Amino acid sequence: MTATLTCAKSPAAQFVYGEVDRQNRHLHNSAALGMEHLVREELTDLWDECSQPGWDGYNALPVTWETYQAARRFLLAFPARTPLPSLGADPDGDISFEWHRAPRRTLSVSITPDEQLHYAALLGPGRTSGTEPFYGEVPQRILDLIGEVYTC
Amino acid sequence: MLDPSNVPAIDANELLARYILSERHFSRDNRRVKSGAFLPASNGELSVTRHRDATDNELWHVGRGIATTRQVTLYARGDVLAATCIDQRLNIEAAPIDGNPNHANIVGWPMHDKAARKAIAEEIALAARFVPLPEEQS
Repeated sequence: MTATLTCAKSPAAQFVYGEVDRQNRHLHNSAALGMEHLVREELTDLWDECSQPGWDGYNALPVTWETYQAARRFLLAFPARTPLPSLGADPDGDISFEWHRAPRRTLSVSITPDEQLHYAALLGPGRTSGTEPFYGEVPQRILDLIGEVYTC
Repeated sequence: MLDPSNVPAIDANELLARYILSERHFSRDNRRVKSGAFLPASNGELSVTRHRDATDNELWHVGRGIATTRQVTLYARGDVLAATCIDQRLNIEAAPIDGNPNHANIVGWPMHDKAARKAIAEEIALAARFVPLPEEQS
């Protein structure tokens, strides 16, 4: 259907296409589908890119299967309407999640293969960091920090 | 580039380049280096190249050499003042290597505390200037 609509030339057809596209983007960005998409697409890509030693061009340790699974569980544990993070990897093989709104409104969380969550946030003039265990539910501390990143 | 037989100590006002060799370490959307690019390796060292006495072409030449040797893609540099690292209580040691007399290591990381390392890397990434590889260099 989309392929047909992209070829549409009339104003009405273009309007319909625009609406479909807008709705698709809305669905993509909604947390429920968005986290699934992150897991299915980006986390898989990350695994492909970072599961070999030296993936960063230096001496990075590989992302292990255990870390991949921990990251998957972590992403899928977020409540609906959570803003989507961008995914990264650390030189020690941890997988990282970044919520970034502005230079000093940013949070980075790394998950280890044994499901420890190391976080650091820059929030205005201050910064905070710490470690929380992941027991299947996203720690309230992490949710609060995400909220602070997106609060004016 | 620096004279390999006479490598000076690092000055706080020097610029340091971190080569970005993974798509996971920068954001295309808002053209910035992510903090993961500034986390040290497990040996506690963050490898950088000093701008001192080097032309832009020489800096990219070094980066391309690293990428070729390690069979990865060079995407960008993250340039940061040495003072930024010193402010985070890190040390920078000149560490010339074959083909790169400007090589240095940022050391002194709290290797027992991942969260503290992340916070430091966030501050450095925030201060870093994202310099994409020019098209004529790719």
